[in-house]
Amino acid sequence: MNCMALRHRNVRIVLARAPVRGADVYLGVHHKTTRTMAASRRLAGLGEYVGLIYGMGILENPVAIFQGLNRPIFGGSLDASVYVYVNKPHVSFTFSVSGPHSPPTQTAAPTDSVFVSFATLAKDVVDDVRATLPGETIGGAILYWEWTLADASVPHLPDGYQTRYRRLVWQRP
Amino acid sequence: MAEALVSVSEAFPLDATHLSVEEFKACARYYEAMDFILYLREDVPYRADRVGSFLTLLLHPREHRAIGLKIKGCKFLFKQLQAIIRAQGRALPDDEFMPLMSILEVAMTAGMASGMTDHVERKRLTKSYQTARAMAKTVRFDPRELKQAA
Repeated sequence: MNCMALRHRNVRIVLARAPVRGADVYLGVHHKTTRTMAASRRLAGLGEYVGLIYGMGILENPVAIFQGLNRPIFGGSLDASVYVYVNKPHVSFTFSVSGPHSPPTQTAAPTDSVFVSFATLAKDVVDDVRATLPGETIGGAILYWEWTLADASVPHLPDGYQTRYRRLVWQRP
Repeated sequence: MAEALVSVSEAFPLDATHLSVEEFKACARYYEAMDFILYLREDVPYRADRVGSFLTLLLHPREHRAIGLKIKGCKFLFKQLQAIIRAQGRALPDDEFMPLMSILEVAMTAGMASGMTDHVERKRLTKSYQTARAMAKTVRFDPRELKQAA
């Protein structure tokens, strides 16, 4: 995969496989998530975004995409609007405490885990994120990302993948 | 690929102004885009271990020990908490940090209710919530963002 060709000039935007209809879609990272991570000094979390999601462009080539979190979000059934991209990268990334002006460095991937990225195409959320990206076109928003335990029987999917999400919408053949 | 990666200040120039020269400190913060509170003790690529609809434990990347937790569905839980406090004729103060335990207790009640029918599941939930309670015991968080979301 040619990562260079896929990378958007704006670090806050990445190309991703569309959860429905198969075409690719540009996703903007939610400004409130990166702001909260920065305010918490979570350099590993910010490094995961820049290294894996932006740098390696993993959302264009996920292992699987699920829909729905099976839990309350904002008090209602909005969880169905959340898509979960599953990847199995062999590395992770983090920024250095002493080097906010240095690129992230590669670290070992956590053991027995997969990387999940949460995204939505919900209009109100996308409009909110688009307002922070003047002049850019996005079709969805990345809400959060993290490593999560892998399923013991199917190690490229999250633990309990059969019940923790509403449904599987796509899986790599 | 690494040469093309950018620094945190280039990637997030506005957010980077929030970055301090201080080292990471354990804290609980509300992530509005996903409606959860995350408490993390170490700045590492944690592994999420989903306990149920309302709780996820965060494990060390290579060791089997919890280093944090996520309380999910916070808008719903916060409304429940407000109702409980109102029923006692009190109100949540606007200017005080809240104990994380207060919202964890509500999450535990809601989470345990869904696992009450299965003995094995109930044992697993009880153990996980005990781990979460031990971690949350002395943690406080700023409820202002959560109040706005609710």
